[in-house]
Amino acid sequence: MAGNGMKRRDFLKAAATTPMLGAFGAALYSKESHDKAAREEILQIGKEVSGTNPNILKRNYKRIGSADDTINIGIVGCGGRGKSLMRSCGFYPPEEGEPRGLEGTEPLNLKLTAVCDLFQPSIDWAVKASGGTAKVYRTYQEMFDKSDIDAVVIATSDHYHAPVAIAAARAGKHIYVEKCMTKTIKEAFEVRQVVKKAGVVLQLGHQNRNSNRYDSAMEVINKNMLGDVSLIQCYTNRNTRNGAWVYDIPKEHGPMNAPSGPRNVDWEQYVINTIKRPYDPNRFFRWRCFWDYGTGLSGDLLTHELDVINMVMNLGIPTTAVASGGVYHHKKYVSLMTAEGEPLDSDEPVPEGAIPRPDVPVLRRDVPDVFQVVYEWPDRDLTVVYNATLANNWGRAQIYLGSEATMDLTDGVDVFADPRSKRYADWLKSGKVRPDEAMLSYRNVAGKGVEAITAATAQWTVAKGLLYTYRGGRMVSTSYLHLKNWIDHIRDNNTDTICNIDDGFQEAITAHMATYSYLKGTRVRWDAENERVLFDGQQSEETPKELVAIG
Amino acid sequence: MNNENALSRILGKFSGAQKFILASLRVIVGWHFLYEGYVKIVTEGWSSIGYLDASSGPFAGIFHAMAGSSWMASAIDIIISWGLTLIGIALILGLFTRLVSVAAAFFLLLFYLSNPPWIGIHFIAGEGNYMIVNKNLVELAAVMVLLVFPTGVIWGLDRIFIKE
Repeated sequence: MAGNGMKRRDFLKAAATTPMLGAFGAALYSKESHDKAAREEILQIGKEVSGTNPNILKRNYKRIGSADDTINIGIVGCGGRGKSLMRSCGFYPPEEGEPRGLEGTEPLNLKLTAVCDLFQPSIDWAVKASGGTAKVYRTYQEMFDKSDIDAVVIATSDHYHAPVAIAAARAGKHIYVEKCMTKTIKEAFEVRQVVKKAGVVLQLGHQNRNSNRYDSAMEVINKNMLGDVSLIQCYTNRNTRNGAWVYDIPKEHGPMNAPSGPRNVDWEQYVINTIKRPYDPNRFFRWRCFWDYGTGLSGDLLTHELDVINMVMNLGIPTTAVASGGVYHHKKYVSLMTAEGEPLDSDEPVPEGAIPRPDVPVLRRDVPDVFQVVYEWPDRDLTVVYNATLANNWGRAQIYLGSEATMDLTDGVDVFADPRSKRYADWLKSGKVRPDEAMLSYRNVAGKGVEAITAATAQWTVAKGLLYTYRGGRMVSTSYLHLKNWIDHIRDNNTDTICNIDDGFQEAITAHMATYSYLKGTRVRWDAENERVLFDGQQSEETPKELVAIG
Repeated sequence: MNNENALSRILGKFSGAQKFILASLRVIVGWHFLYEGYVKIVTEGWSSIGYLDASSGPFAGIFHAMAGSSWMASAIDIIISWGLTLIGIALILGLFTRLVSVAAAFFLLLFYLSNPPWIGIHFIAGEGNYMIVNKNLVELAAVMVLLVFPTGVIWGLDRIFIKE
């Protein structure tokens, strides 16, 4: 060991390479300082704030010290989305186990006391999820009259959103309603009027508003880093039957008045406020494929894009909309089962010996699977183009095209200097900024456990922030955050939720302008001064025949 | 110790240029390890999951399984980031040279096997063009040189641990 025997020369040789550690430290310091200076210089661009988006304040809402009493909630519509919202509230049958994205979150202190659904197994699920205490109501009217609920979650098919929301508001219940807020333009006005008059707290179900990438996106816009944004492109791409809304139809379906077999579907009530047709399980379980019950790509998937663009840019309702599309790919679908009678998932490979299900008619949708719309805001010199196909999965995302830079929200937030930018010309020339490399980049922390999400549609929703976001490095369900925002506002007696009734009104009108444009084959205009929707060549607000019937 | 003493004597007989180049190789590889480790430690949210998930070739299943387990992936993140850092420091100092050369070789072998540029295997190329041999393999070869010529005993802190 080192000691008396060691000579000075030995020590020098032993320490010969040690100074290299110092050299490494010096190099590291120099590199970090250089990188930091470059980063700060780029961040300086935003020193001149161009204007304040009021949505930033809404995003940063913190509950004031209000009481934490238990809030009783009811659920109307406990199918796929309804179950998922209940799980986010902390209600699920014990055997399912805690859902993803709830680990370590603050409990909302809710009690599920009332359930209303038109399919018996969904009712059973919800009662079980409530711990067996929730009461079942056959109609939502009965629920609002007789139950002890303070608030209601509405996750029905679209054609019931407005009638249930209006009844809830009149009964003084706070409302969480899924998108699209209404099925028609007329209903959007009605819901807004009734909700505002009642003063109840409404949250529209655009949970992806809570994705933290939009904080960065809004900062980029607020600091005017993009220059004049003249065009925004947004898309939907899916290529599975489930993604095209061809969901599984459970074996135990059948109308209440069936002569034999299961009697689990309250079909009579389902069609009460739309065209009365004979029982068709496609129209009940795959309702998004039909105008009678759904709002199409515009109400269902376009709104995910337009709602966040509206939040990021604070746009309001567009002045004009022109849409087109059609049923191109999913023209018809025959539901299959095995020879033993087990229903087959629409996306599974078809095994040998599969035969058509006798209990499910051939599905022929009337809602387009390819759809595009052009919206214009002449006062903002801005156009938004949306296009979608449910027959291709090539990932595209929201892209904001500005005169100085481009913002891409594909994987997070990436800002690229425009090669012809004047503002960034010096940096581009010196190589400090390269047009093919993001000069500013924001990423979610690569989470632990994203590996469990495999279905193509699920991957799409993760990328779009529809399922999870990150808080303090932890993956959190955006639905939980959205519900929490609603509950916090109820406790604070504050109606200005992150996606409030005004956002909902704008969302519904914007979506329906596209739908009406497609169905009527004309350009649709929004007369902001008089709050009227007009059609080119026809001065009326008449509802297209496909969307008739709200009683 | 005898063995190390013998090595020390053999290495001691090398020309100055030979000793200088071998020790430089050790410092350069150490420098590379140290910076790779440092970046992984300080980068918020860095995770090996993406790299493991992208694994291809005959061993891909093992690497995917590592990424598939949340606790294992967290453990791997810590082992890789701190392992690279400590190996880097030790190689620069010439401390425990043979031990850390083995550890470095083990890491590089794993990196190589997780994405081997073998014929018929789709691998992540990064920059450059590779066929069987890539930079991981070259660095692995360099580390093997360090293992059999552990210059820490002549120019490095290992010298202190060896009695003349």
